[in-house]
Amino acid sequence: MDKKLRSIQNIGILGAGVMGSQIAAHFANAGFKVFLFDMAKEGKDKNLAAGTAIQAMLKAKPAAFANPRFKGRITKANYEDNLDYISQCDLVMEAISENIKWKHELYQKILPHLKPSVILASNTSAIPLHSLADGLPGWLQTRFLGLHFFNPPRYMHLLEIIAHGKTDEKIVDLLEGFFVSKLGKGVIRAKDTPGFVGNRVGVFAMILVDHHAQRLNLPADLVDELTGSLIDRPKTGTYRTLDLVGLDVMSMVVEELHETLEDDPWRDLFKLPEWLTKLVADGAIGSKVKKGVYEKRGKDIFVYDVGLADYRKSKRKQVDKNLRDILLKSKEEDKFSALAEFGGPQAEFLLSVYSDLFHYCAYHLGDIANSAKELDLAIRWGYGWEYGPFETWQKFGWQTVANFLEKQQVANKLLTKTDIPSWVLEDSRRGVHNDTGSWDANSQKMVSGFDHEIYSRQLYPPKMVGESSPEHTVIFENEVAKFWSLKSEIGILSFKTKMHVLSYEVINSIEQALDIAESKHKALIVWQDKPPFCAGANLYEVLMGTKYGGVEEKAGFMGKLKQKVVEATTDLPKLGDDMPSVKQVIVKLQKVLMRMKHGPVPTIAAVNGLALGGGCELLLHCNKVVASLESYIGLVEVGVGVLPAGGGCKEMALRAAQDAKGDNLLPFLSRYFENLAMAKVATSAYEALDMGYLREEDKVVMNEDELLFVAHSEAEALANAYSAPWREPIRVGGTGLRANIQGQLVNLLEGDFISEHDYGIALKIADVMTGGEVYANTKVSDEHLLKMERESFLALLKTEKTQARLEHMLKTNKPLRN
Amino acid sequence: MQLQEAYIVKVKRTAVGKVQGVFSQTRPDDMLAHVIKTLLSELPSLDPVAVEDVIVGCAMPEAEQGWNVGRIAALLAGLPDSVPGFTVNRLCSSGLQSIAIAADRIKTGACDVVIAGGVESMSMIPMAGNKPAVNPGIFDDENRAISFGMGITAEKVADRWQVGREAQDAFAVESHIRSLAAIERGDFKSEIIKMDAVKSSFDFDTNSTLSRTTRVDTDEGPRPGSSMEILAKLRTVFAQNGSVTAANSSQMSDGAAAVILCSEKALKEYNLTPMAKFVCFSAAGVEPEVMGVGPIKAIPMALEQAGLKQDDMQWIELNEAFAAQSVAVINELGLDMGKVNPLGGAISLGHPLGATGSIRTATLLHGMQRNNMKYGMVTMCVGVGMGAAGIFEMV
Repeated sequence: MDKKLRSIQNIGILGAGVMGSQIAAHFANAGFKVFLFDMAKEGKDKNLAAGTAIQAMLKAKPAAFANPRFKGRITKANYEDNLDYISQCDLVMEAISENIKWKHELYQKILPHLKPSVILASNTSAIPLHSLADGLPGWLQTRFLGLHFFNPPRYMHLLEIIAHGKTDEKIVDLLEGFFVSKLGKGVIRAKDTPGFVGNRVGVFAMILVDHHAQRLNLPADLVDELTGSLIDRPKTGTYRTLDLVGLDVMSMVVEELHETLEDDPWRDLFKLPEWLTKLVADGAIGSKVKKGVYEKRGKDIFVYDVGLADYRKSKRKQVDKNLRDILLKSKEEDKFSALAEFGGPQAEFLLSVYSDLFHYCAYHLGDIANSAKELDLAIRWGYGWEYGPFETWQKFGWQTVANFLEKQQVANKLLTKTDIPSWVLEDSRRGVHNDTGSWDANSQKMVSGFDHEIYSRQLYPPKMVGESSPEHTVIFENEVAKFWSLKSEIGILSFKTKMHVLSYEVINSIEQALDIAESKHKALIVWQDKPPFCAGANLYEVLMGTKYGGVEEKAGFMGKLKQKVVEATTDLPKLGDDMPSVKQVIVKLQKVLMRMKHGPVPTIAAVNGLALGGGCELLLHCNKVVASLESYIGLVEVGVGVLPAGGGCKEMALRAAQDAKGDNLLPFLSRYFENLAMAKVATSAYEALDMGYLREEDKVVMNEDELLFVAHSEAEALANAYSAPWREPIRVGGTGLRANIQGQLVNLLEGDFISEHDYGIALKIADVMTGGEVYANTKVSDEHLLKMERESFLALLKTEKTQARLEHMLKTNKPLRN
Repeated sequence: MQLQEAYIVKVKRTAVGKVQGVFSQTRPDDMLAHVIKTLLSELPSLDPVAVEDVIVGCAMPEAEQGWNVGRIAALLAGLPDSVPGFTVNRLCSSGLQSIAIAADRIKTGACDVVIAGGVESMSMIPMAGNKPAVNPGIFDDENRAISFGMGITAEKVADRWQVGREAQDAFAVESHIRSLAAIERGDFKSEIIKMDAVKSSFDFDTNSTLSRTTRVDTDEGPRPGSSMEILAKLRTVFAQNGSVTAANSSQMSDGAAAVILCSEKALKEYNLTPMAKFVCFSAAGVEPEVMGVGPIKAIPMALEQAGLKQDDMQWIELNEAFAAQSVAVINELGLDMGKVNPLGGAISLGHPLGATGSIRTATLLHGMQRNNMKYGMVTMCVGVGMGAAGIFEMV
């Protein structure tokens, strides 16, 4: 497959608007040469439009480029002077305004320059593909299709590929493989129906929420609380998401759907409600103008209240406590019935939102998607829901919901009188997903789908509700970790703690896995089934250990007593009876991580999402890292008042010395020092490479679902010729370099940019990274640096200000500056 | 010993370029050599063999301006091998210090013809040099302020001498207004030696190197359109709640200047017309953490040495390291703003550290010559807590 994918190298993007330029940036992230076209501007710089768009991309938040230098992979172009570039392009994608006439004119303009093997695509979300294909010469019609990206394209996983009647199936195959593996997208082969799959269902779900909210007089802030993480949807809920999308954009999309969905029984719902139309008319179109349904005024958030016809201060925690308990604590299969019995507008709202959505999805499944899996994944990937509509239904218990729907329909309580499809009501039905496949409402059978060979690279793909995990062997499993393997001699260690944090038990489990791997496995991979890779150390353990007097040694009698009192009077998590001292934990962490790096079995970190603090130190000590593009790596310990003490300072001092290759250490070391002292976090794997957290030999993977596959092949390669890195002496900067850093810190302190405590912590980091009281360029042992790390860590823990920082982080999840 | 007069026969400079600006790829030794060579060519009656020393001020004398740039620039300028040269460093007053030393050599009769000057490329050698290395011991005693950046010292001066943000911004705006007007009038034309600056780059579109030559005859620093409103928007850079911004600080720059000094005997021998006499020079130390107020001590010392009063000075070039310290010095000594920096200063014109003393001497002497004035002064604050002042008398 990979060989076929190579046929696409150069990309032409027509239209440097918001979508076009962001898509161009993401192709650049993936390492492709991109020609970004727009209309020629009058004046000196005819490529001004593309140039301006690239500048905007550099400032975009969240970042469009994974590394600002990737802008060099985009060549600015205009339709007057540069049409010859088109002949170099293997894939040309049009992303101009949704105007069929303009699109046709543009296709005619580029036509003479297209090479015969080109693939031509449109990023339309509104115009039927077949009408765009009309007018193209026959040979090109077969090479023409739709590619529907979601905004922002770097971050939204969903890509809908839409073939029209004449598109060559081979082209669709090629692109599915290409976009999944090379750009990291989740591809759905959507049918050429209005809104395709994602927007058809996703937009419906949003306006449905508003419909019932207005019907039941529920304010927007309450609705957002009800339709956010409580029901496994994005925590921005409905209206906040709407603000982010832009009310103006939404208004256009809804209008288009209303126009094209002539036969949709729910068509009347596809209208922007009056109150939102009024906001748009007033210019309150959402986040881009800082005013939409919500408005931030100073530190307060205001929300538009339909009843008041004005903004008011937004309120939190408006959801009924008992209802909240049902949503958070009930078993999935009991939730729906519990909601039905609960009564009151909040529960009724949720029931209606679920019922009409399920009704809609069931009714349309056959027209718009090839299987329920496609529909569910489109909503997960395009709208950020944890579970798709059918998955939610299946979790609630298919029959429970189906019976309820039937009753509601009889009682005329559903939005339309449209029939519920008969397959929904089959007595034997337990859901739409199981290990044989997923329901296809057209063929009326379970189909496997997603059978493209590219998915063989997804060794442990995201599974649907109702599906079991791929076959694997569990070597050991405890409360905090699981050590397992696929059909290979490579061990995989996965954490089970919240945010995959490192607790003492996790550290012990790593040791246990190493014990086994060193005798039984070719290599050891650290991999998590979902992000983050590891958010750091278990701060709660550290703080409690400290508070109970267990910094240097185990907590004594009084400490144990304190612990019992805390556990009895609060609902804080319990700690093990034999709580180790913090020192014991840190000694163990260092020992285990050094063994990861220098032990006989090669170790591979498969990183995705956050890798902070201890999580970063873990990957720094693996012999190889494979990281997804969206890896956010950093040593952020100063935020909680300590310094990296799991070998992080040591490792960065070592890397600085290696980078300097005998030259002046200063520029290399001070850069790494700054990363630590300012707790910088890389915004992508490529930025982590620049920051020294990844190395050139590490691998960046575009699709996180391919991480485990690449980790396995890297593990095999490493194991085939492995000798552990030798513990070479480390050349350090000594007191001279430390003084240099100290001079800079003094200025930051004098300028009030850092606090006294920041200064103290940073100085300790500088001290460790320069090797303490030695002359410049002295070589020291890694053990010396590790010892300094430990001592500084424990000394900082004993300060009140560090304890305050730890406590603050645990309580608020935000760093305290004291 | 009978002291004799030290005459300045000629003083000129390059235009001053912004850091990473027009001179960013022009070596400092080349800039200085160009000035020396041009000066000598303008004095055909002076035999270069007669030059007995070349004394050059430079604040970061290393790398492109290292290995004794005084000697190297002399050779690059085409002076005979027999002419020696050396480099002096008193940070920002180096270019005045070099003139003072040259004058002393003449006054004592040790030499008859000496070239002095200053040079600095801040594009090539950063502030504090390529490898800053403070003494680790300073953090444990009262010498901690040695590690203070100049910006922090300006904040401290602003604090102690009560110079607010508005006063600093107003001073900065005035500096630009004066410089732009001076450029408009052509005031700097007589002191600036044109120089071709070459800049090369690589063009990825054509896959070839590009080279562009600019004839530089105007200072690059002055910004049209500076206003209180615009300056008020800038953030402070050295202190979170401070008052010193990039706009009310001097600009980092590249530049060079040279001065030819002679004894009376040499004037006659080589048939030279003097511009001015070098009267005297003083340097003084102050607390390093408020280095900007150095001139408050140095100016009265120089005046006393010369036996002159502050009012006798008709033109004062006070180096604008920071508006904060300039205003503090002006207020404390009661200097007349009409006489201080009539053509603007380092905030608008730029401050190539070790070259500034010689560059502002060129501005002072050419300016006084145009205006038929008699006494003038060049003065500046100096890093690590010093001030310097030199007095000139037109002839």
